[in-house]
Amino acid sequence: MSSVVQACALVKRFGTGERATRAVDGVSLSVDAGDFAVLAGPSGCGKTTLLNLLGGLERPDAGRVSVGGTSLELLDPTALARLRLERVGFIFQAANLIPALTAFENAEFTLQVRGVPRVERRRRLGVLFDRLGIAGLETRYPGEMSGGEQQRVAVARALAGEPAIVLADEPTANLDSVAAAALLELLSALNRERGVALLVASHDPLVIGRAGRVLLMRDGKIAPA
Amino acid sequence: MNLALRLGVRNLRRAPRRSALTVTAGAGGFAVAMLLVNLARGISEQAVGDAVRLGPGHLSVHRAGYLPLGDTARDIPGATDLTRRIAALPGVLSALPRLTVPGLARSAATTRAVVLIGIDPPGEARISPLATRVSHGLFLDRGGPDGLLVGAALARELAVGVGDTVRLSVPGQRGAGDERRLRICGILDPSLDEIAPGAIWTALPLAREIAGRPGAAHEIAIFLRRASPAALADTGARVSALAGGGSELEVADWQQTLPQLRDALALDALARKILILGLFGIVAIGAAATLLASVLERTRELGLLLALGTPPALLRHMVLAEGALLGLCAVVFGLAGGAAATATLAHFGLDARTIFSEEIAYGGALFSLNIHPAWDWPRTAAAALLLLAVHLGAAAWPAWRAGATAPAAAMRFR
Repeated sequence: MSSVVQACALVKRFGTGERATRAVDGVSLSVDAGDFAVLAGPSGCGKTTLLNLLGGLERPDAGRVSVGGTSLELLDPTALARLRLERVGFIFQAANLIPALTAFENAEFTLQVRGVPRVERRRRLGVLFDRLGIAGLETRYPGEMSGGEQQRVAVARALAGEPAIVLADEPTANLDSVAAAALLELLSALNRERGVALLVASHDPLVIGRAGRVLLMRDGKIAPA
Repeated sequence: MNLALRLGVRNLRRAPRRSALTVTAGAGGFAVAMLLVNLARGISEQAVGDAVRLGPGHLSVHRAGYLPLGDTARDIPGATDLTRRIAALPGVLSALPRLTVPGLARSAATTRAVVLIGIDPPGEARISPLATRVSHGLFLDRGGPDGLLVGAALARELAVGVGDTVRLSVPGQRGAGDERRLRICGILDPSLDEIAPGAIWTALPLAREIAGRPGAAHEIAIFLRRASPAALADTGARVSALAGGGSELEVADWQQTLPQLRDALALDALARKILILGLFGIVAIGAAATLLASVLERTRELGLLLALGTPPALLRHMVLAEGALLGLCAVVFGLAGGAAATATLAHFGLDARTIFSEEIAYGGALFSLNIHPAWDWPRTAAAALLLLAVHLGAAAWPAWRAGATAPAAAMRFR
């Protein structure tokens, strides 16, 4: 399998001097196409920071990250944004929808930025909204939807661009068990059917149970398998 | 619709009261600026109109060297024929010859140095405010062949009234002073004392006879139907061609013959520009504060947009679009307000005569204190463009900040 994301000896510190904390401390990993990997570990162990580094949202203090063979340290903010737009889908703990946009507009946003024609946007999102069980909510604003509905719109947004990898940070944390199971079922199906790589930060047993690979993080390091 | 613009519209609608307040400040500033521009145009047109009709016309022809001191030895050869040909030019309302000769006026009480101005009474009566500003007696067109028009101050100094006579001596071309007895037919309004101190007026044939200069004129004052810069330049070129286009005669526009008025209006324009710039500066600070607050409030959202792959340039364009939209709304509402204020004042006038006197003399012209604005669309358009530029300028720093947001740090922001 080809590697979608590779990280080598990643270090990320917050703070300076004696108060500096190593949120990520020498992490190396590789996620291949079709992988469903879970970053498990207690709160504060560095899962979110590692996802941010892998997605190019933060620069590491040391080490290297490449996505689809492109080294992120060589890219300026615009090129990094372009790479995220085309190859990475993000799902956050909170849905993080844009309040001023409707559900459909939120989901189509990345496609619009990429210049995907309107007809194609409608086709892709029609399928995704049906599959996520949110068909009929297209014109609602985030404030008019439940937390679960918002999270499913966020998933549609992450998947609409057909990314090579989805980085999900505690995607089920704000969902009830039924909604969480449905979301996981969908992610698993996309992983199986389309070969989308999934790297999910979670300590939810339901998520860990579905994963093909579990990476245990503790104090910024990945524990040996 | 462009994505940045669409996002900008939505963002402004999210904080309607803040957006409305910012637009109101901008619109108020623009309305005041528009009214100032239109008032200035009204004042300027009124002052220039009065001054040129009282003085040298929109354009004037002189013998080379006559200006700036009024060298009376330099008169225009063939003035009568040239006047007739100029009057026939398209766009010319009237062409009036004038003879200006220094002399001494003697009454029973005293003797004063004066400037005798020979004019064409029927022609001047159609154009010049002199005819309407005779406070006692009659204007020269009905004042008899030896009638004399004097200013109120001079009449007081000479202790003469309508019907009295003064003796006038003017150095003739032979160098000898010929004394003539002239009867005062009219006394002018005191408001003209500051504009033409020491001037006295009589009919041109009589002035020529007194000066011993038959057919002579020092100046041909030309009045245009439209006094736009283009009309001045066009008619000026035609008159130059008629005058021979050589060095013997020269054509001057009112800005050359009334330099004090030109400078006074330029000073007024400068003061107005400073005022408008100050006004727009305050508007810019308000718009910048609004946009910066809006960007700071959306720090987390901007981080999210960047995390999703939005190019930083799109976020910068979005904030610039917000600035441009605020500016555009300010221009539209300001235009409505400024137009309403201008139309109202154009109808009723801005009457300051209860505070000051009827008019004030400044820069060689009389300024009426019942001011009527006149539409000045080119300057209004310039002010509108300036206001838009001011809003875009005010959005520049917030836009840069939005584009420079660090996505992960922004998403941790609460």
